[in-house]
Amino acid sequence: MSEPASEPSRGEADESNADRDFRRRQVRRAIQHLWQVPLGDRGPAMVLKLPQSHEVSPS
Amino acid sequence: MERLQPRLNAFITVLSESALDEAAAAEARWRAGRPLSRLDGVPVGLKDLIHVAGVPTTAASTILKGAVAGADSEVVRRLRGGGAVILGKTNLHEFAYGPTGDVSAYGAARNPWDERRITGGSSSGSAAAVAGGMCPLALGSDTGGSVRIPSALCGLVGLKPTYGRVPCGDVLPLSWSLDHLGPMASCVEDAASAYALLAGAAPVQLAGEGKRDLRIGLCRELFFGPMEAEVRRLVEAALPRLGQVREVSIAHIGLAPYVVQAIMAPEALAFHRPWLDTRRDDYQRATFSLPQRLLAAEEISAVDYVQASRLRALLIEEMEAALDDLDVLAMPTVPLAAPLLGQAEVELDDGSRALPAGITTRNTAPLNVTGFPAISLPCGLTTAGLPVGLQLVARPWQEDWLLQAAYRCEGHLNQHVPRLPEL
Repeated sequence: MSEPASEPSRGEADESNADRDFRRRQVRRAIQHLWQVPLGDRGPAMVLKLPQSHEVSPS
Repeated sequence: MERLQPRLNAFITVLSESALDEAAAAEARWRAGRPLSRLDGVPVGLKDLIHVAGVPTTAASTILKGAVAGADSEVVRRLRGGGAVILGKTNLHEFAYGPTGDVSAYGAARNPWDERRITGGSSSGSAAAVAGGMCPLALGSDTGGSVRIPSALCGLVGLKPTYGRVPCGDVLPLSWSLDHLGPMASCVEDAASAYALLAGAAPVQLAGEGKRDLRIGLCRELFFGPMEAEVRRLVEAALPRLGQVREVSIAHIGLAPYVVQAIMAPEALAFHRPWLDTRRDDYQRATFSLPQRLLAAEEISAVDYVQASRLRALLIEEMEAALDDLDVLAMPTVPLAAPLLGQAEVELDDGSRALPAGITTRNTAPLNVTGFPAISLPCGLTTAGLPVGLQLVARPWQEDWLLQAAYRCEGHLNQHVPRLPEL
Protein backbone atom coordinates (compact mmCIF):
# COMPACT_ATOMS: atom_id res chain seq x y z
CA MET A 1 0.00 0.00 0.00
CA SER A 2 2.97 2.28 0.15
CA GLU A 3 3.12 2.43 -3.62
CA PRO A 4 1.99 5.78 -4.96
CA ALA A 5 -1.37 5.61 -6.64
CA SER A 6 -1.79 6.59 -10.25
CA GLU A 7 -4.58 9.06 -10.96
CA PRO A 8 -5.04 11.90 -13.43
CA SER A 9 -3.63 15.28 -12.46
CA ARG A 10 -6.10 17.71 -10.97
CA GLY A 11 -4.04 20.82 -11.51
CA GLU A 12 -0.91 22.58 -10.36
CA ALA A 13 0.02 23.77 -6.89
CA ASP A 14 -1.17 27.23 -5.95
CA GLU A 15 2.30 28.62 -5.34
CA SER A 16 3.14 31.63 -7.48
CA ASN A 17 6.19 31.65 -9.72
CA ALA A 18 7.77 34.33 -7.53
CA ASP A 19 7.24 32.29 -4.38
CA ARG A 20 8.61 29.21 -6.07
CA ASP A 21 11.69 31.04 -7.27
CA PHE A 22 12.25 32.52 -3.81
CA ARG A 23 12.02 29.08 -2.21
CA ARG A 24 14.43 27.58 -4.70
CA ARG A 25 16.92 30.40 -4.13
CA GLN A 26 16.68 29.72 -0.39
CA VAL A 27 17.53 26.07 -0.96
CA ARG A 28 20.47 26.94 -3.21
CA ARG A 29 21.84 29.35 -0.58
CA ALA A 30 21.54 26.69 2.11
CA ILE A 31 23.24 24.04 0.02
CA GLN A 32 26.24 26.30 -0.60
CA HIS A 33 27.16 25.80 3.07
CA LEU A 34 27.91 22.15 2.33
CA TRP A 35 30.85 23.17 0.20
CA GLN A 36 32.69 25.36 2.71
CA VAL A 37 34.51 22.53 4.49
CA PRO A 38 37.47 20.78 2.85
CA LEU A 39 36.88 17.04 3.25
CA GLY A 40 39.95 15.66 1.48
CA ASP A 41 39.39 12.05 0.53
CA ARG A 42 36.76 11.42 3.19
CA GLY A 43 33.99 9.19 1.88
CA PRO A 44 30.30 9.41 2.62
CA ALA A 45 28.48 7.81 5.54
CA MET A 46 26.69 5.06 3.70
CA VAL A 47 23.65 3.19 4.85
CA LEU A 48 24.17 -0.43 3.94
CA LYS A 49 21.62 -3.14 4.50
CA LEU A 50 23.68 -6.28 4.68
CA PRO A 51 22.14 -9.73 4.67
CA GLN A 52 21.90 -11.46 8.03
CA SER A 53 23.63 -14.59 6.79
CA HIS A 54 27.27 -14.58 5.79
CA GLU A 55 27.20 -18.08 4.37
CA VAL A 56 28.72 -18.39 0.95
CA SER A 57 27.40 -20.93 -1.52
CA PRO A 58 30.06 -23.11 -3.13
CA SER A 59 30.68 -22.06 -6.69
CA MET B 1 -11.45 8.22 25.07
CA GLU B 2 -14.97 9.42 24.20
CA ARG B 3 -14.49 12.55 26.31
CA LEU B 4 -11.00 13.50 25.18
CA GLN B 5 -10.89 12.58 21.49
CA PRO B 6 -13.18 15.46 20.45
CA ARG B 7 -10.98 17.88 22.39
CA LEU B 8 -7.52 16.60 21.47
CA ASN B 9 -8.10 14.98 18.05
CA ALA B 10 -5.34 12.54 18.91
CA PHE B 11 -6.57 9.54 16.92
CA ILE B 12 -7.44 9.07 13.26
CA THR B 13 -8.69 5.51 13.77
CA VAL B 14 -9.75 3.94 17.07
CA LEU B 15 -9.81 0.12 17.12
CA SER B 16 -12.34 -0.25 19.92
CA GLU B 17 -13.55 -3.79 19.31
CA SER B 18 -10.22 -5.46 18.63
CA ALA B 19 -8.63 -3.54 21.52
CA LEU B 20 -11.24 -4.85 23.93
CA ASP B 21 -10.69 -8.40 22.66
CA GLU B 22 -6.93 -8.04 23.05
CA ALA B 23 -7.34 -6.58 26.53
CA ALA B 24 -9.53 -9.51 27.59
CA ALA B 25 -6.93 -11.98 26.33
CA ALA B 26 -4.21 -10.10 28.23
CA GLU B 27 -6.27 -10.14 31.39
CA ALA B 28 -6.64 -13.89 31.11
CA ARG B 29 -2.86 -14.27 30.75
CA TRP B 30 -2.19 -12.16 33.82
CA ARG B 31 -4.78 -14.12 35.81
CA ALA B 32 -3.05 -17.33 34.75
CA GLY B 33 0.28 -15.90 35.84
CA ARG B 34 1.65 -16.01 32.29
CA PRO B 35 1.94 -12.45 30.95
CA LEU B 36 3.90 -12.14 27.72
CA SER B 37 5.86 -9.09 28.88
CA ARG B 38 5.60 -6.06 31.14
CA LEU B 39 3.51 -4.46 28.42
CA ASP B 40 0.98 -7.28 28.23
CA GLY B 41 -2.43 -5.60 28.15
CA VAL B 42 -1.03 -2.06 27.88
CA PRO B 43 -2.90 0.06 25.28
CA VAL B 44 -0.60 1.57 22.65
CA GLY B 45 -1.30 4.24 20.04
CA LEU B 46 0.51 3.93 16.70
CA LYS B 47 1.40 6.87 14.51
CA ASP B 48 -0.67 6.45 11.39
CA LEU B 49 2.20 5.59 9.11
CA ILE B 50 2.79 2.28 10.88
CA HIS B 51 0.83 -0.55 9.29
CA VAL B 52 -1.76 -2.65 11.10
CA ALA B 53 -3.17 -5.47 8.99
CA GLY B 54 -6.71 -4.74 7.81
CA VAL B 55 -6.64 -1.14 9.03
CA PRO B 56 -6.20 2.03 6.90
CA THR B 57 -2.81 3.74 6.98
CA THR B 58 -3.56 7.36 6.12
CA ALA B 59 -0.35 9.30 6.90
CA ALA B 60 -2.89 12.07 7.66
CA SER B 61 -3.26 12.66 3.93
CA THR B 62 -6.15 12.31 1.50
CA ILE B 63 -3.62 10.81 -0.91
CA LEU B 64 -3.91 7.49 0.94
CA LYS B 65 -7.65 7.57 1.48
CA GLY B 66 -8.98 4.02 1.24
CA ALA B 67 -5.56 2.36 1.47
CA VAL B 68 -5.76 -0.59 3.87
CA ALA B 69 -2.60 -2.30 5.11
CA GLY B 70 -2.17 -5.93 4.14
CA ALA B 71 0.15 -6.83 7.01
CA ASP B 72 1.44 -5.56 10.33
CA SER B 73 4.68 -3.61 10.41
CA GLU B 74 7.47 -5.43 12.23
CA VAL B 75 7.14 -3.14 15.28
CA VAL B 76 3.46 -4.06 15.52
CA ARG B 77 4.35 -7.75 15.39
CA ARG B 78 6.79 -7.18 18.23
CA LEU B 79 4.22 -5.26 20.29
CA ARG B 80 1.66 -8.01 19.76
CA GLY B 81 4.29 -10.56 20.75
CA GLY B 82 4.57 -8.77 24.09
CA GLY B 83 0.80 -8.66 24.51
CA ALA B 84 0.37 -4.93 23.94
CA VAL B 85 -3.14 -3.81 22.99
CA ILE B 86 -3.25 -1.89 19.71
CA LEU B 87 -5.62 0.92 20.59
CA GLY B 88 -5.60 2.87 17.34
CA LYS B 89 -3.79 4.99 14.78
CA THR B 90 -2.73 8.45 15.87
CA ASN B 91 -2.77 11.76 14.05
CA LEU B 92 0.37 13.27 12.53
CA HIS B 93 1.71 16.03 10.34
CA GLU B 94 0.90 15.00 6.78
CA PHE B 95 3.34 12.24 5.75
CA ALA B 96 5.42 13.13 8.84
CA TYR B 97 7.03 16.03 6.98
CA GLY B 98 6.65 18.88 9.48
CA PRO B 99 7.69 19.61 13.07
CA THR B 100 4.60 21.57 14.09
CA GLY B 101 2.14 18.69 13.71
CA ASP B 102 -0.76 20.93 12.72
CA VAL B 103 -1.14 20.04 9.02
CA SER B 104 -3.37 16.98 8.72
CA ALA B 105 -6.30 15.94 6.55
CA TYR B 106 -7.99 15.06 9.85
CA GLY B 107 -7.36 18.40 11.55
CA ALA B 108 -4.66 19.38 14.02
CA ALA B 109 -4.12 17.47 17.23
CA ARG B 110 -4.30 19.68 20.33
CA ASN B 111 -1.79 20.08 23.13
CA PRO B 112 -3.33 18.73 26.36
CA TRP B 113 -1.45 21.35 28.41
CA ASP B 114 -3.22 24.13 26.50
CA GLU B 115 -5.60 23.13 23.74
CA ARG B 116 -4.99 26.39 21.90
CA ARG B 117 -1.44 25.29 21.22
CA ILE B 118 0.31 22.88 18.87
CA THR B 119 1.56 19.55 20.10
CA GLY B 120 4.64 19.72 17.94
CA GLY B 121 5.19 17.08 15.32
CA SER B 122 5.24 15.22 13.40
CA SER B 123 4.02 12.57 15.90
CA SER B 124 1.34 14.98 17.10
CA GLY B 125 -1.46 12.56 17.90
CA SER B 126 0.83 10.16 19.71
CA ALA B 127 1.89 12.98 22.02
CA ALA B 128 -1.65 14.24 22.54
CA ALA B 129 -2.88 10.72 23.32
CA VAL B 130 -0.24 10.02 25.97
CA ALA B 131 -0.18 13.50 27.51
CA GLY B 132 -3.98 13.48 27.56
CA GLY B 133 -4.01 10.17 29.42
CA MET B 134 -5.81 8.33 26.61
CA CYS B 135 -3.10 5.66 26.55
CA PRO B 136 0.12 5.27 28.52
CA LEU B 137 2.29 4.59 25.50
CA ALA B 138 2.49 5.51 21.84
CA LEU B 139 4.87 5.02 18.95
CA GLY B 140 6.18 7.78 16.76
CA SER B 141 8.62 8.09 13.92
CA ASP B 142 11.54 10.49 14.13
CA THR B 143 13.28 11.78 11.01
CA GLY B 144 14.29 15.22 12.26
CA GLY B 145 12.91 15.08 15.79
CA SER B 146 9.33 13.88 15.36
CA VAL B 147 9.31 11.75 18.52
CA ARG B 148 11.33 14.12 20.69
CA ILE B 149 9.75 17.44 19.64
CA PRO B 150 6.14 16.59 20.51
CA SER B 151 7.38 14.79 23.61
CA ALA B 152 9.11 17.97 24.75
CA LEU B 153 6.18 20.23 23.94
CA CYS B 154 3.68 17.91 25.64
CA GLY B 155 5.75 17.06 28.74
CA LEU B 156 6.57 13.45 27.83
CA VAL B 157 9.57 11.17 27.59
CA GLY B 158 10.43 10.39 23.96
CA LEU B 159 13.23 8.09 22.85
CA LYS B 160 14.92 7.98 19.46
CA PRO B 161 17.11 4.87 19.55
CA THR B 162 20.26 4.44 17.50
CA TYR B 163 19.63 4.36 13.74
CA GLY B 164 18.72 0.80 12.79
CA ARG B 165 18.05 -0.40 16.35
CA VAL B 166 14.27 -0.56 15.84
CA PRO B 167 13.23 -1.77 12.37
CA CYS B 168 11.28 0.76 10.32
CA GLY B 169 11.82 -0.56 6.83
CA ASP B 170 8.17 -1.52 6.41
CA VAL B 171 6.71 1.72 7.74
CA LEU B 172 5.74 4.55 5.36
CA PRO B 173 9.02 6.42 4.87
CA LEU B 174 9.88 10.07 4.96
CA SER B 175 13.64 9.79 4.47
CA TRP B 176 15.10 6.29 4.59
CA SER B 177 18.53 7.20 5.90
CA LEU B 178 17.16 9.47 8.65
CA ASP B 179 14.01 7.60 9.73
CA HIS B 180 13.80 6.11 13.22
CA LEU B 181 10.95 4.72 15.33
CA GLY B 182 10.65 5.22 19.06
CA PRO B 183 8.34 5.19 22.08
CA MET B 184 6.61 8.10 23.77
CA ALA B 185 5.53 7.73 27.39
CA SER B 186 4.88 9.69 30.55
CA CYS B 187 8.00 8.41 32.32
CA VAL B 188 11.39 6.87 31.58
CA GLU B 189 10.39 3.51 33.02
CA ASP B 190 7.53 3.09 30.53
CA ALA B 191 9.70 4.29 27.64
CA ALA B 192 12.37 1.75 28.65
CA SER B 193 9.87 -1.12 28.74
CA ALA B 194 8.62 -0.21 25.29
CA TYR B 195 12.14 0.20 23.93
CA ALA B 196 13.16 -3.27 25.09
CA LEU B 197 10.17 -4.85 23.38
CA LEU B 198 10.58 -2.85 20.16
CA ALA B 199 14.31 -3.50 19.91
CA GLY B 200 14.09 -7.15 20.90
CA ALA B 201 16.46 -6.32 23.75
CA ALA B 202 16.68 -7.50 27.34
CA PRO B 203 14.74 -5.42 29.89
CA VAL B 204 16.69 -2.29 30.86
CA GLN B 205 17.90 -2.22 34.46
CA LEU B 206 17.25 1.45 35.14
CA ALA B 207 18.76 1.58 38.60
CA GLY B 208 21.69 -0.59 37.62
CA GLU B 209 24.48 1.99 37.50
CA GLY B 210 26.55 3.29 40.38
CA LYS B 211 26.08 6.60 42.13
CA ARG B 212 28.97 8.40 40.43
CA ASP B 213 27.97 11.83 39.11
CA LEU B 214 26.90 11.92 35.50
CA ARG B 215 29.51 13.52 33.25
CA ILE B 216 27.50 15.86 31.06
CA GLY B 217 28.80 17.59 27.96
CA LEU B 218 27.41 20.98 27.01
CA CYS B 219 28.01 22.00 23.40
CA ARG B 220 27.16 25.66 22.94
CA GLU B 221 27.62 25.57 19.17
CA LEU B 222 24.16 25.31 17.59
CA PHE B 223 22.43 23.65 20.57
CA PHE B 224 22.57 26.71 22.85
CA GLY B 225 22.00 29.29 20.14
CA PRO B 226 19.06 31.70 20.35
CA MET B 227 16.04 30.23 22.12
CA GLU B 228 13.10 31.38 24.19
CA ALA B 229 14.36 32.91 27.42
CA GLU B 230 12.36 30.60 29.65
CA VAL B 231 13.69 27.50 27.91
CA ARG B 232 17.26 28.60 28.54
CA ARG B 233 16.48 29.49 32.16
CA LEU B 234 14.96 26.09 32.89
CA VAL B 235 17.61 24.02 31.11
CA GLU B 236 20.63 25.92 32.45
CA ALA B 237 19.20 25.77 35.98
CA ALA B 238 18.63 22.03 35.65
CA LEU B 239 22.01 20.91 34.32
CA PRO B 240 24.17 21.52 37.42
CA ARG B 241 21.67 19.50 39.47
CA LEU B 242 22.15 16.50 37.21
CA GLY B 243 25.89 15.96 37.33
CA GLN B 244 29.28 17.43 36.42
CA VAL B 245 28.90 19.71 33.44
CA ARG B 246 31.77 20.30 31.02
CA GLU B 247 31.77 22.37 27.86
CA VAL B 248 32.69 20.53 24.68
CA SER B 249 33.04 21.49 21.04
CA ILE B 250 31.66 19.87 17.90
CA ALA B 251 33.37 22.01 15.32
CA HIS B 252 31.05 21.53 12.36
CA ILE B 253 27.74 20.86 14.11
CA GLY B 254 26.46 24.17 12.72
CA LEU B 255 26.34 22.50 9.32
CA ALA B 256 23.93 19.81 10.49
CA PRO B 257 20.76 21.69 9.43
CA TYR B 258 22.09 21.97 5.88
CA VAL B 259 23.11 18.31 5.84
CA VAL B 260 19.60 17.38 6.96
CA GLN B 261 18.07 19.47 4.21
CA ALA B 262 20.33 18.02 1.52
CA ILE B 263 19.51 14.44 2.54
CA MET B 264 15.92 14.54 3.74
CA ALA B 265 14.39 16.58 0.95
CA PRO B 266 15.73 14.53 -2.00
CA GLU B 267 14.89 11.23 -0.29
CA ALA B 268 11.36 12.45 0.44
CA LEU B 269 11.01 13.79 -3.09
CA ALA B 270 12.05 10.42 -4.52
CA PHE B 271 9.23 8.74 -2.59
CA HIS B 272 6.60 11.38 -3.39
CA ARG B 273 7.58 12.08 -7.01
CA PRO B 274 4.84 9.93 -8.60
CA TRP B 275 2.15 11.57 -6.47
CA LEU B 276 3.51 15.04 -7.16
CA ASP B 277 3.12 14.34 -10.85
CA THR B 278 -0.45 13.08 -10.65
CA ARG B 279 -2.11 14.13 -7.39
CA ARG B 280 -0.45 17.38 -6.35
CA ASP B 281 -3.71 19.05 -5.39
CA ASP B 282 -4.60 16.23 -3.01
CA TYR B 283 -1.93 17.29 -0.51
CA GLN B 284 -3.04 19.59 2.30
CA ARG B 285 -2.93 23.30 1.58
CA ALA B 286 -0.70 25.10 4.07
CA THR B 287 1.70 28.01 4.30
CA PHE B 288 4.54 25.62 3.58
CA SER B 289 2.74 22.80 1.83
CA LEU B 290 4.35 19.49 1.18
CA PRO B 291 4.47 19.95 -2.62
CA GLN B 292 6.16 23.34 -2.26
CA ARG B 293 8.81 21.95 0.05
CA LEU B 294 9.35 18.78 -1.93
CA LEU B 295 9.68 20.46 -5.30
CA ALA B 296 12.25 22.90 -3.94
CA ALA B 297 14.43 19.82 -3.43
CA GLU B 298 14.90 19.71 -7.20
CA GLU B 299 17.58 22.34 -6.58
CA ILE B 300 19.66 19.78 -4.68
CA SER B 301 21.88 17.84 -7.03
CA ALA B 302 23.24 14.33 -6.71
CA VAL B 303 26.66 15.72 -5.92
CA ASP B 304 25.16 17.90 -3.16
CA TYR B 305 23.60 14.76 -1.69
CA VAL B 306 26.93 12.96 -1.73
CA GLN B 307 28.68 15.95 -0.18
CA ALA B 308 26.09 16.00 2.61
CA SER B 309 26.74 12.29 3.17
CA ARG B 310 30.47 13.01 3.46
CA LEU B 311 29.76 15.73 6.02
CA ARG B 312 27.60 13.24 7.82
CA ALA B 313 30.65 11.04 8.29
CA LEU B 314 32.58 14.02 9.66
CA LEU B 315 29.81 14.88 12.12
CA ILE B 316 29.64 11.28 13.37
CA GLU B 317 33.39 11.39 14.02
CA GLU B 318 33.22 14.75 15.79
CA MET B 319 30.25 13.78 17.94
CA GLU B 320 31.96 10.55 18.95
CA ALA B 321 35.03 12.56 19.97
CA ALA B 322 32.90 15.03 21.93
CA LEU B 323 31.46 12.15 23.97
CA ASP B 324 34.92 10.90 24.89
CA ASP B 325 35.15 10.83 28.71
CA LEU B 326 31.50 11.91 28.95
CA ASP B 327 28.33 10.00 29.72
CA VAL B 328 25.92 12.17 27.75
CA LEU B 329 25.55 15.42 25.89
CA ALA B 330 22.69 17.62 27.13
CA MET B 331 20.77 20.47 25.53
CA PRO B 332 17.21 21.79 25.23
CA THR B 333 15.19 19.43 23.05
CA VAL B 334 13.37 22.32 21.39
CA PRO B 335 14.39 26.00 21.63
CA LEU B 336 10.79 26.98 22.43
CA ALA B 337 7.70 25.94 24.34
CA ALA B 338 4.53 25.09 22.41
CA PRO B 339 3.36 28.04 20.26
CA LEU B 340 -0.29 28.79 19.63
CA LEU B 341 -1.90 27.10 16.64
CA GLY B 342 -1.29 29.38 13.70
CA GLN B 343 1.30 31.51 15.53
CA ALA B 344 3.55 32.96 12.85
CA GLU B 345 6.64 33.79 14.89
CA VAL B 346 8.28 33.31 18.27
CA GLU B 347 10.61 35.75 20.03
CA LEU B 348 14.05 34.45 20.98
CA ASP B 349 16.38 35.66 23.71
CA ASP B 350 18.75 37.45 21.33
CA GLY B 351 15.89 39.70 20.23
CA SER B 352 15.37 37.91 16.94
CA ARG B 353 12.15 36.33 15.77
CA ALA B 354 11.84 32.91 14.18
CA LEU B 355 9.27 30.79 12.41
CA PRO B 356 8.27 27.95 14.74
CA ALA B 357 8.60 25.46 11.88
CA GLY B 358 12.05 26.81 11.07
CA ILE B 359 13.69 26.53 14.47
CA THR B 360 11.89 23.59 16.07
CA THR B 361 14.19 20.87 14.67
CA ARG B 362 17.47 22.72 15.27
CA ASN B 363 18.54 20.61 18.27
CA THR B 364 16.98 17.31 17.29
CA ALA B 365 17.80 16.81 13.60
CA PRO B 366 21.60 16.63 14.15
CA LEU B 367 21.00 13.34 15.98
CA ASN B 368 19.16 11.98 12.96
CA VAL B 369 22.17 12.92 10.85
CA THR B 370 24.58 11.05 13.12
CA GLY B 371 22.14 8.34 14.19
CA PHE B 372 23.18 8.66 17.84
CA PRO B 373 20.50 7.72 20.40
CA ALA B 374 18.72 10.64 22.07
CA ILE B 375 15.96 11.03 24.60
CA SER B 376 13.80 13.97 25.62
CA LEU B 377 12.48 14.25 29.14
CA PRO B 378 10.54 17.00 30.90
CA CYS B 379 12.68 19.51 32.76
CA GLY B 380 10.06 21.95 34.07
CA LEU B 381 7.20 24.23 33.19
CA THR B 382 7.32 27.80 31.94
CA THR B 383 5.47 30.51 33.88
CA ALA B 384 2.62 29.93 31.41
CA GLY B 385 2.51 26.29 32.52
CA LEU B 386 3.99 24.82 29.33
CA PRO B 387 6.45 21.91 29.39
CA VAL B 388 10.09 22.28 28.37
CA GLY B 389 12.17 19.29 27.32
CA LEU B 390 15.78 18.36 28.06
CA GLN B 391 17.55 16.20 25.48
CA LEU B 392 20.27 13.72 26.40
CA VAL B 393 22.50 12.08 23.78
CA ALA B 394 24.68 8.98 24.15
CA ARG B 395 27.05 6.98 21.95
CA PRO B 396 25.61 4.64 19.31
CA TRP B 397 24.04 1.46 20.69
CA GLN B 398 24.18 2.77 24.28
CA GLU B 399 20.41 2.99 24.80
CA ASP B 400 20.57 1.17 28.13
CA TRP B 401 23.01 3.69 29.47
CA LEU B 402 21.02 6.59 28.00
CA LEU B 403 17.84 5.35 29.68
CA GLN B 404 19.65 4.86 32.98
CA ALA B 405 20.99 8.42 32.78
CA ALA B 406 17.53 9.75 31.90
CA TYR B 407 16.03 7.82 34.82
CA ARG B 408 18.47 9.47 37.22
CA CYS B 409 17.78 12.90 35.75
CA GLU B 410 14.04 12.34 35.91
CA GLY B 411 14.32 11.83 39.64
CA HIS B 412 15.99 15.22 40.02
CA LEU B 413 13.80 17.15 37.61
CA ASN B 414 10.24 16.04 38.14
CA GLN B 415 9.80 16.28 41.86
CA HIS B 416 7.58 19.36 41.65
CA VAL B 417 6.09 18.96 38.19
CA PRO B 418 2.92 16.98 37.46
CA ARG B 419 3.51 14.18 34.98
CA LEU B 420 0.36 14.91 33.01
CA PRO B 421 -1.98 17.91 32.83
CA GLU B 422 -5.35 17.95 34.53
CA LEU B 423 -8.08 17.41 31.94
